[in-house]
Amino acid sequence: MNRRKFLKAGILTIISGLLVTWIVPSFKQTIYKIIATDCAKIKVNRDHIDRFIQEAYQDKFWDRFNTQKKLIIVFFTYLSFTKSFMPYYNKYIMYRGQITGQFLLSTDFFINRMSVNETVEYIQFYNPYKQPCYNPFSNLFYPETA
Amino acid sequence: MNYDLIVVGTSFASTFFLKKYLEKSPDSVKVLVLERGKFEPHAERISRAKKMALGEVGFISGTSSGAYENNNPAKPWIFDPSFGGNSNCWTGCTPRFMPSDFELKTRFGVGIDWPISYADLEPYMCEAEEIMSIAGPANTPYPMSRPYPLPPHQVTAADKLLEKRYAEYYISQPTARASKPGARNACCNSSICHLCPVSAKFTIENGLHDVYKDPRITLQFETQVLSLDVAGGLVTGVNAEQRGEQITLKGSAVALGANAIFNAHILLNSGDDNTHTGRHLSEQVGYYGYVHLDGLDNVGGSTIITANGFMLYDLPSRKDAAACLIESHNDPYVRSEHGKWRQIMKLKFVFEDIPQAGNRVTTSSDLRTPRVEYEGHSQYVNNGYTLMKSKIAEVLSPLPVEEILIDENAQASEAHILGTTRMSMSKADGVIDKHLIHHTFRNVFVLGGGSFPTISAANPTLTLSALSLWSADKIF
Ligand SMILES: Cc1cc2nc3c(=O)[nH]c(=O)nc-3n(C[C@H](O)[C@H](O)[C@H](O)COP(=O)(O)OP(=O)(O)OC[C@H]3O[C@@H](n4cnc5c(N)ncnc54)[C@H](O)[C@@H]3O)c2cc1C
Repeated sequence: MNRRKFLKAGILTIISGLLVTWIVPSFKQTIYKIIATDCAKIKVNRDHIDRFIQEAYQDKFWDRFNTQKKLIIVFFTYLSFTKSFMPYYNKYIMYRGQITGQFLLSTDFFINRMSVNETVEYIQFYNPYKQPCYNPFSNLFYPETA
Repeated sequence: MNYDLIVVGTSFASTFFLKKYLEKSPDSVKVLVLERGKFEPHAERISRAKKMALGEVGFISGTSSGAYENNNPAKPWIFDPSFGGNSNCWTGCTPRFMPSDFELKTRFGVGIDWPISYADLEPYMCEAEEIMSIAGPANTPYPMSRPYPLPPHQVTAADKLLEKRYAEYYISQPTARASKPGARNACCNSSICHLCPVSAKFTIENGLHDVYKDPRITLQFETQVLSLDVAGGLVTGVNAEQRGEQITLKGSAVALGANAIFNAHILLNSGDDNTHTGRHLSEQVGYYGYVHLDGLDNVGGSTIITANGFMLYDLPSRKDAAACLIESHNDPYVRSEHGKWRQIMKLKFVFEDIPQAGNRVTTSSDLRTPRVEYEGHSQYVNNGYTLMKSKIAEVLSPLPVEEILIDENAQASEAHILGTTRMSMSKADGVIDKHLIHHTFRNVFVLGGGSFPTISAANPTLTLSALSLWSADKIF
């Protein structure tokens, strides 16, 4: 590679790197968008979403999503108009459920039986080792199903 | 010192064998048990997990990484090398194998038959279920001479509709997660069974620890058995590494319960020249599926996996396409759609495989480390998956289905390690006989899921525990 080509390749790499950083939203922004969109019709305090995301980082929850999963999540969240035609759509639906689910499990929404009238209170980042026996869909929370 | 019996490992295969052996042996016998790991009590594991970040707790409490060489890192083989082995981290699902699983060749023309039948093993399945206090339903697709010791777990709203339609082919999952308090606490659906926070599932620690208090037993930790000493066709003892030191221990009989990777490896290290040893490494293959329900909140289940469906199991197509066992999952998953949060059912479709000779355990340059070579599962599994996809809408028709989403990628692992020392009538067809005794080394028992000639779609541990009871009962 001569000097001119080398410089050209370097400049292109820098520009595309900057474009990716500016244009492609961060994973953190994406999580916020997912939760805010999914919970738009329930009374959720937006600060609680930030707090959840922060606590989830502290608890390394997002480490469960490797780079490939993160890319799928970001891609489908922002290009949703093509989603049902794309491979990995099923996976995206699953991951999205995990993200919003983990947020709502950290609140009192499910304990209040998914009521849309009450303001949702944030409790703490849901960690089953610290909060055992908490599956809000189980028979313990729905004794009438026995 | 020459022991009457040397037992390798302290998990299901070893402990169930040991329990029966001790019941049938005089007070004078001397037994040495060698365990490569340490004993980390449940309470200590829990307090360790609580101090960790959630994302760090991982899949299991022990770790299998580094214990073997893997030619295929996309295919992990998971186990917990410590006292109690995988009983510490298993999920506790214990459906029985179906009678057909023992005679796949005769009934469907594929795989090979087992040298024993369902009827032979049935009394020992009952005994294993009693020991583990299994919870399960009254009606099952397989015959049972004794009811399950504990009542069944409560199923979810969607399960109830399938139960109504399919009767004994869709049942509350038989499980070692207690449905009511007794010997253990009741399961309260924490959905982290690999380290149950309330000790509701059976483990060697909470269920059979007393076996190791028997005065006839000497238990040594941090001792990895590497090979057997062979003289005149019989084994005279084991060679092991104990905290960095090489030792030899003498015994009149040896029972290997180190799991299908390490049992095969120990035999290969000992000059076992049977061409089947180490081959046919296999396990089931699982795919998740999500069913979006129309107006039905899928709530009310009392444990992590509430039901097993056998609707796609013993079909005539099993001659070409793997049997599928359906699991209904009940962890706190949601559907990301307002107002439909729990109008969803999570299923897992688990397929049997026909064990392939090319998938195998072999030796490496390090005597301590087996090498695992796994090329992949067979076409039989793929056929089963295709068949399931074509039939699933019809199978789930009792449900108010909006949409069925099925994962195209198999799970990396079902955490079952099977088939490297298969049972057979003769040495030409396998490694051990129907009593789990090695065809060549006639004083060596090779226990565990390595003994399975074919692997069923059902979870293996109930069956391998029953086999240990059967073996010790028939021989001693
Ligand atoms: C996360 C997870 C979930 C599972 N869930 C289920 C389930 O729901 N249902 C089911 O049926 N099965 C399940 N299984 C599989 C089940 O755990 C195994 O089938 C079962 O534990 C096998 O028992 P085993 O005694 O043969 O071997 P293991 O449990 O693997 O125990 C082997 C023992 O030998 C010791 N050992 C190994 N090598 C040596 C050596 N060289 N020298 C001395 N000691 C040695 C080990 O430390 C251990 O104590 C699960 C497994 C995992 C990992």
